[in-house]
Amino acid sequence: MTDFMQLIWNETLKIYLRVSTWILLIFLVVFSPLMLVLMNLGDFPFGAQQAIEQSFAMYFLVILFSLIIASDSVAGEFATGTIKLLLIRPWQRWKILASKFLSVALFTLVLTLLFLLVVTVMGYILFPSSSSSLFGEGESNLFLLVLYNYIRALMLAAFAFMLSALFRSTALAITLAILLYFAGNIITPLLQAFLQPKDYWFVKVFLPANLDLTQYMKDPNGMFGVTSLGWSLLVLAVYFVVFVLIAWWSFTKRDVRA
Amino acid sequence: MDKLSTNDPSGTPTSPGSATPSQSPSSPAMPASDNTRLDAVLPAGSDLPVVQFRGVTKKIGSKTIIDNLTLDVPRGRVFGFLGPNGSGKTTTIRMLVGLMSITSGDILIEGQNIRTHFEEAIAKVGAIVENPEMYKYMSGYQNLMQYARMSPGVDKQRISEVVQFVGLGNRIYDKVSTYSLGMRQRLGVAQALLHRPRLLVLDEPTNGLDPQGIRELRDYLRALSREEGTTVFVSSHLLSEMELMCDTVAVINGGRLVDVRHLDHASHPSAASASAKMMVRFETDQPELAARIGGGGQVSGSSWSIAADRQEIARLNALLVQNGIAVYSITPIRETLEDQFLAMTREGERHD
Repeated sequence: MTDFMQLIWNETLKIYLRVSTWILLIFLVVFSPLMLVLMNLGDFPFGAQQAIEQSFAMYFLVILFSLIIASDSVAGEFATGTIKLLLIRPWQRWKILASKFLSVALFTLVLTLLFLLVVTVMGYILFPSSSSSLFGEGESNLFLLVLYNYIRALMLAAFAFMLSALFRSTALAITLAILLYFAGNIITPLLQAFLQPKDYWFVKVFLPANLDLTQYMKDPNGMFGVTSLGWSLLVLAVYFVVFVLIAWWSFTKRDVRA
Repeated sequence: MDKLSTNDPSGTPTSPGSATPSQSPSSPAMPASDNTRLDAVLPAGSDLPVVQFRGVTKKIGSKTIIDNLTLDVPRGRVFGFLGPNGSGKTTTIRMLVGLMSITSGDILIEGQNIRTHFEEAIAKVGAIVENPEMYKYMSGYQNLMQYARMSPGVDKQRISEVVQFVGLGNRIYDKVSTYSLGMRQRLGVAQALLHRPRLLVLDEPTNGLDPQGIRELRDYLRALSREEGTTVFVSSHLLSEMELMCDTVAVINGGRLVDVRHLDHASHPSAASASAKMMVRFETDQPELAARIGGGGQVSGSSWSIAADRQEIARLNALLVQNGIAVYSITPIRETLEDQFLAMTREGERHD
């Protein structure tokens, strides 16, 4: 097991030794509080807790940056040809793939925690008139908010990771993953507005409609009133397994010709 | 196919110039001396070929890339894998190191099947497949650390050993993006040697290297096979390169093994063991006269060529000089690997 940790450490170094990763991190720190600043300028009468929750609108930065790293994880090695040196080590391919995905999941977690840290600090600075403390009544809400957002980021990262292994092209994987993310964000409200209730079976299995688990913080039956937290988690789990299987097949069974 | 068993696996390379008639050229009747020599440096049972290709076939779609390749790579040699572009060299190497699947047949490395026991088999292999591609945003040292973490028993001391062996010195701490191709090749050799592999696999290692880089690489390979007993399996389409580097050359064409040749580096001058005739070229001022006196042969330009054995060469030389012909040089014309190679690959094409 220690050996496998070494693989994850290798993959983690591949992410953090690049200048581009640090540009993303700096970008995240600078732009995460944008929402807070705007709310502050607009003189919104928020307490710190409320302001922090509102600023999760900026969490899409974390998702975008995760997608970028996930898309490059496998495809980048094919593009540079380093995959050939990576796969001739005494490690079965699925273990290398697993270490890659775990490093992406960890990177997404780091981005999430960094985001949380920045918006919390800035939230308390810009909205000092906190009526409720961070450790008060609303604590579980913030925890769930972070957890649900992280799950969404992880699902999308898994999708990008699968595309990366499947197409072996970073550009294609990034493009398709971001397309799914934004298309989902646009289509879901449209469905909500125009879909006939008899066709609601569709949203039950439609990935983007199940991605945002924060909908259950407002309504236990979800935005369409036909799903539940448990149902959405099940749907996400099924999609996740499919993504993993496709990535696994693509990475372990196909010839390397790069 | 199994022509190797009849070859003389001379363990100690001899420079061509130092050969004397007392050193017998490669002869089939020497397996006993071979065994004793190998037993001295290797554990029992080491007559096992390092690599065994057994009926290896690769099909992509309906196209057969490698057709029923059966070949043994003996221990401690620099083994060349020669063929024109598109003959299936790279495909074979990719199957050997597990980058490509095998349609049918098996590849055994130190007796371990690369298909069913991948981790055990590949642990004995170090390789560069085509160009030595490294993580450019890392230093050479950080790159080596990546691979060190993936193999058991590679510590910091071993890393400095291989860095010293390939002569990268302090440049190992610079980013790979600042390296020349020659330095990247050295780093490639370093990563391949890190875990002390029994087999070193190099695919077209001289591609893009300048003559000095090629020479350095050749020296590494010779040193490795001589000092550490590492078997080197190297592919190339460059005939002259293979002649200088390899003890044995397998020739592949159109996905099929055409021939296995043992190159006895000691044998070229002494192949003229007293009675053997060879072609010799005399460069003289009067080639036509030389041909008339010498009794036949061919004249081209200022040179006259004739088949002769050692004694005859000396006699002919004396004869020419006595007749007032100036002899500027006498050169044996040996059939190069290139000639043999071209002949073999042409044959291969006829079979198709």
